[in-house]
Formats: sequence, structure tokens, C-alpha cells
Amino acid sequence: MNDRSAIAWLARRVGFGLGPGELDTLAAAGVPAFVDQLVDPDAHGVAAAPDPWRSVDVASYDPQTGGAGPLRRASVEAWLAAMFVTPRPLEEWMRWFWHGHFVSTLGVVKDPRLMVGQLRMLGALGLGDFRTLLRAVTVDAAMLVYLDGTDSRLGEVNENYGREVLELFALGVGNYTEHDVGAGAVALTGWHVDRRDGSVAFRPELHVDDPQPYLGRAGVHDVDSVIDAIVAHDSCAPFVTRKLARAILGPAVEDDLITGLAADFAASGLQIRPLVRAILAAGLDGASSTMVVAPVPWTVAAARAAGVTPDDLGRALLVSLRNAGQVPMTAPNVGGWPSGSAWLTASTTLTRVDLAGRIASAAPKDNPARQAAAAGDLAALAAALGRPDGFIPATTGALTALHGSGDGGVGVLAAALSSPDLVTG
Amino acid sequence: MLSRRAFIGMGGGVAAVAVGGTAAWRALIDDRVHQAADATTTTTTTTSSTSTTAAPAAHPGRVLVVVQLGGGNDGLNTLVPVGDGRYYDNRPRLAIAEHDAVALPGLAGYGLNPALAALAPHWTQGRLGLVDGVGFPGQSRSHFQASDTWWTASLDNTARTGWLGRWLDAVGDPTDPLRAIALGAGSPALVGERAQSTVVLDPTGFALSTPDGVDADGLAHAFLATAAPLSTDPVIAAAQGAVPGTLSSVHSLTPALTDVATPDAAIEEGDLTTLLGVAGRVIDLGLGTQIIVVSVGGFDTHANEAAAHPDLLADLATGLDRFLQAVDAQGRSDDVLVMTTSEFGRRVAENGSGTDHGKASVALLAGGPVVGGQLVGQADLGPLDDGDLPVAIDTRSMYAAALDWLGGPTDELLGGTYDRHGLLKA
Repeated sequence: MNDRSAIAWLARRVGFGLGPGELDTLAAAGVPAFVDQLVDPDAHGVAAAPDPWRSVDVASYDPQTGGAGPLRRASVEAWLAAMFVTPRPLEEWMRWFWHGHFVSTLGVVKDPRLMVGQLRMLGALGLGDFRTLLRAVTVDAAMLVYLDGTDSRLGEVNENYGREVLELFALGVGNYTEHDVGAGAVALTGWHVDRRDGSVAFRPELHVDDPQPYLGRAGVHDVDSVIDAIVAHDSCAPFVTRKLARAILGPAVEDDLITGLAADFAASGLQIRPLVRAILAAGLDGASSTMVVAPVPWTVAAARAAGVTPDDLGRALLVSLRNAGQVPMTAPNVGGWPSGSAWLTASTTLTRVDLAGRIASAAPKDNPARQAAAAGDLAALAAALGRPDGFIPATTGALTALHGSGDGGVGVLAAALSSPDLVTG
Repeated sequence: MLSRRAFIGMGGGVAAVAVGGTAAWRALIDDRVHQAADATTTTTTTTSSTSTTAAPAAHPGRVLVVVQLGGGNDGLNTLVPVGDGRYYDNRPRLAIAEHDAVALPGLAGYGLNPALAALAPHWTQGRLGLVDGVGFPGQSRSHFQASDTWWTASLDNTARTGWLGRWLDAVGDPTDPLRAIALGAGSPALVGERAQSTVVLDPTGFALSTPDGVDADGLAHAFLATAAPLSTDPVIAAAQGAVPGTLSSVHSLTPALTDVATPDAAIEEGDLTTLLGVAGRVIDLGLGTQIIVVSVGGFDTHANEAAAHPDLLADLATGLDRFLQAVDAQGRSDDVLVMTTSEFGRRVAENGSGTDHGKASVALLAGGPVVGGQLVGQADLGPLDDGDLPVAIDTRSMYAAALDWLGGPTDELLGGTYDRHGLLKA
């Protein structure tokens, strides 16, 4: 990969694309500097990212009346807007990654205070150590509602979280027994969400204190002994490593690479930041494969490159993402969103075409991508859209045929934004 | 019930603005879509090692509608064993009382959940059948492992194709994206080696517009032109391959979807009722669609089941009742078969406010081809399988009956011979 390709790859895989002119600026500073800014912004003078929800009055949510539609919508829109402007793309991307891993949804949780609280937690802990993160998720208010921990208590033990924490969050299917599912559920009883203020408390009178064997350990009986047993399990580091590596490097990651990364991850005490750095190094060294870009990152990257803001798109932003099948905070189930060819369906494809037209027509005339489109300069257009290696022959042919239709580049830009080149990367 | 669309307070406002644009696209691509699709198909075939010639469909007018109840439907509270005290012992709070259950003529000891009352007349009319104790051997309690098994009809989860995708590959033209349509969510059951299908996630949002001042004809051509020549990168090539099928689908399906885009209806109707309404209109369009998979979620009732499960079942009953009537009105009663699926049933004993993941469950078969008024199999509350209902009827028996009806080769597609149990009329 040359430097510009590497910068664009980093911005796609662990960020939400690039704004106008950023590719050149970052390439001039060099790839190692960009990696440092992404992975370790505190040590490299990058300003802290403001809280995405600082302007959303989620505290005004009233669980009695429940009329939260506007607050829910504002919470989703505020997060999307933050993806456009964050000075720390990797931190925001990690929040997005963990949100797709530790799934909770507005549809089930309903209370936007809880969803925003969970996302703030994922942002704060997302590059720290996995044990701290998993413990926080386990007793997080939104998660306790989404996977029924708040309903799990003495005499009414609910297995939902006890199963999914093992299967989907930390170990993977086949690495635990049905006994472990039940024993974990018992040990996690007693964590209660107060629906009035959204606070979480451990209530000993609701807890079943019954030490049991769990994942090969004896005497597991509470949240800390559950989390300790999970993170000490042999399959925890490889499971988390595989999930993160596939998200960054693509689905074709070699098993040998996972094994090596996971060993280092385990040896580090499950420190996520160095794991991300190691995955990025592997990707820059040739371990990356082409991926289909999901609707949220595609939309943010396309709009940013075209100089279009969430306000410019207005209501169309959220409606389009809904039609494409990916609205933040509304994953289809606890397994998160699908990936790969699931984002090449008719619904998603036509929504991208539709939204590409809206983005292109909202692009300012002085936007570099719009100008390149108007001039028919396809090399400059591809670079401005984060594809410095150029378009594939089919797209080049299509855009060339469209050039000169007298619309000031809107048509060429729209076709480029929805081209197979931008849908993948 | 609360629709998915209502969660964040969105109706169909933006899509409505785009209707004019959609018409323009449709007119422009009318005669070009099949041309482009043919070109892409040719290219794909020459680069593929599996270019077998599919047999023509034996019964081209028949439509199988699979209704996926995602999350694991509680069979015991769907078809209630009102005659079995063990049910009441295990479900002190969630049990449906015998006097509340809807009695089914000729079926002693059982009743339907009262939320399913709209389906009782179909039982009486002989076009609703029930399969109890249905599941796979070694049925998993994991949503994802169990779903894989149900979708692939393969016990070891090594199959890369779905049971319906294999049929699409084997019979008829697998490259026609309108032969199989997934509504509400994509369906891994439709994945084949070559089979294409069309996914409509949300019928209110299936529309295209063109920006003002842009040459819509040129843009449509440009979009189509990005499909060929295919890139050597298989992922980019897959994205290119999606282009012609998408335009073809938009063109063909828009008539079935336009009248869905009324926000009021979208919020008042349950998801399943909306989606089955679309399914009925798709059948009426006569596009050659042979399989429709309708997917909804919410059946993972670990908590609050007493409130949530009846809403879900009422949506199923309303949707199915209206769908069967719509098919009748089209004169297609004997051409349409409905089957419900769900990855597992739920634990016999309640957990307090809900039920955890279990094994066997109950499935519904509906439509003219069904031997109605019949219960096949029995969920046995006697010797439980680790607290769950044991599997009595292999899911593949249901699949086999449906594939026979569609026109096989059933045993080849399922990798074995399964008892059809007389589920469908000969």
C-alpha cells in the first residue's frame, strides 16, 4: 500500500472516512503519525472528543409518560452527527464496534437515558481492558433491561444474559456447557434497574448466593467471580480477537494471525488498545481483504467526502438508514447486524442509490469531489472519495459516459458514491 | 403491537417525496433491466465452476410462504395442552386457562392461545394444520446455532446453502431475483450456490428518487453500467452483481409496495400483518415468485411474556387470516402454502415472568394444500429433555412435504428421506 492508500484504508476501517482535503494533509504527515493519532490520541496531542449527546436532554425523559420518540430520534441523530466531526475517529469507531458486539436496542430498552448511558460507557472503556469493559456491560442499565438481568432474581432466575455473555460476548458457542449458562445466570441475580431514574443497584435480597462450578472454576457466585472466570477462559482472548480482527481486516483473516494476536492480547491482560494497534499493523502489512461497507459507515463517509452535513440531509438521513437496514441503536437481534453480502440486498442497494443522489445534490459547488465530478477528472474524484487507487473499469466507463450531462457534476458524483467501488473497500 | 417503525417515531415521509422519481426510474429501466441481467448472468456463468442446468419447475404457479417467528416461539403457549396438569404445574403465572383457550373441533386436550382466535375458522374449514413437537435432533438452545440448523437443514452446520436456496438452484432459473423474495429481513434459508433473491427490508422504504436537475436516464444507465465488466476482486464483483437485480426488483415490486406507504397503517398494523399483506400483493402481481420468506422478531420472551406473546400471536393471526382471504380473493387458494418456522421452543417451566430457550415447538401449516383440522405429533410433557420438550417430529419432514409440493427433488436437497406424515394433500 502506498501512503495515500494506507491513510484511506485506516480512515475506512477504523473511522468514518475523510473530510475534504484530509487525505492530502494526513499523507503529508505520514502513515505512522496517523496511526499514532488514531490509536493513542492522548499521547499525540489530539483534542478530546466532545460527548455526542451533550445537546440532547435525555434526562428529560419521563418513564411515566414514556413519550420518548423525539428523544430517541435525537439520540440516534446526535451519535451520527458525532461520527461526522469527531477528532478521534478510532474512539468513535470502537464505540460503534462494541455497540454491534454488546447489543442493546431502543426498541427493547425504550428509555433513551439508558441507551445513551451504555454508549457513553462503551466510548469511555472501549480501548481499555476487556475485563473492565465486560464487567461494566454486565451491570449496565440498558443491558440489564435488554437481556432481562433486571428481571432475574431469587425464585425467577432468567438465563438470557447468562447465555449470551458466553455465546456472543466473550467465548463463542461450543466453549461452555448448559450448566455454565444456568450457573452464570444464578450468580448474576440481584442487579436491578430502577425504571424511574435509570439507576442500577445490587440488591442482596434479590440475589441467589449459591457458589457453583462455572467454566471449570469452583465457588462462582457473583458478578466478579463470573467475569473472572470468563476472562480467564482459554477461548476468551481468541474470540474477542477474531471478532475485532474480522471487523478491521475483513472476513478472510488467516487463523495463524488470529492465534498470534490473541496470544499477545491474553499476555497483555486483555488490553484492547495494543490489540488494535497490532491489528492495524497487520492490515498495513497486507493482511487486509476487501469488505462490503455497512450502511452507517458508507453514509457518513459518502456525505463527509461530499461536504454534506447531517443537517443538509435532514430527515432523509435516518429514513434512508432505516430503509437500508442499519439505524444505530436498533440492531435486529442480540447477534448484532449482519455483514458482507447482507449489505448487497435490493433494499440496501437501492437505498444507497437514492441517498447518493440526495448527498450529491446537497454537495457544495466548491467541494473537491463535486468539482472533480464536474470536470470529469475521475482520478481526482476517486481520491476525493477515499479511493486513491482509482475506480474499477466498469465504474470508469459508467462515469465517463455520464460526464457532460450539464448538471454541474451532480450525476457523476451520485453515480460514483453508489458505485461498487464505494460500496466495498 | 409497537411496530419497528414506531420505535424512533418515523413514518414514511421522505419516501413519499420520492415516488415521482421512482416512476421515472421504472420507466427508464423498463426494457434494459433484463438485457443487463442477461449480460451479468452470462459473465457469472462463464466464471463459475457450478454452471449446472437447472430443471424446469414442476408446478410453476405454486407459492410457498415461510413465516419466520424469530427469537424462539413458545409452542406451549401457542397450542396449549389444556388437558395436561403438568403444563399448569410448570406455568403457574403464564399458563393459559382452559376456559380462555380457543377450542378446536375434533382436537381434545388442546386449545389455541386466545390471541390466535382468528385462525380457528381456518382449522374448521380444513386449511390449518398443526405440527407439534417439531425440531431437529440435538436441537440447540443457541439462537444462532439453532437458526443455522433450521435454515440449512443440516445438523453439523457445515452446509453453505439454505434448504430453499438449494431448491432454487435445482429447479427453474436460479438467476431470476424475483423467484424468491424475503420480506422484513434477509433469509439465510434462501442462500444458494447460484440462487438470487430479493430482500425488501421495509416495504414503506422500497423506492428510488433522482436528484432535481439530473438526467435521470443517464444516471440509470450509469448505475447499470457499473455492473460490467466484473472486477477480479470477488467482493467488488458481488457488489456489481447486485446492481441489475436491484433495478429489476424495484421495477417489478413497486406496484405491490406503493399503497403500504401510509404511516398510519404502518404504525397500527403489526409487522407481520403488514408484511403478509405485501406478500399477498406480490403473489397477485404474477411475477413468477415461488418462495416468499416473511421474517419478524420479538419471540424471545425471556421476560414479560404474558403481555408480549399474545401481541405477537395476534399479529400472526391477523396477518395470516387476512393473507388467506386475500389469496382466496385471487382464486389462488390451492396454489399457496404457508409454513411457520422458529429456531426453537421454550423451556417448559417458566422463569417467573417469561421462559428461557428450549427445544421442540409447534409449527402452523396453512392454505389449500394442507390437510387441515389435523394435529401431527405431540409435545410430550412426560420425559423432558433437560427441562425442554423433546423433539417428536423432525423439521425436515415439514420441509420435505413443502418441497414435494413445490416439485422436488426433495430427498436430494435434504440429504435423506423424511416421513411426510400426511401433512399435505396427496
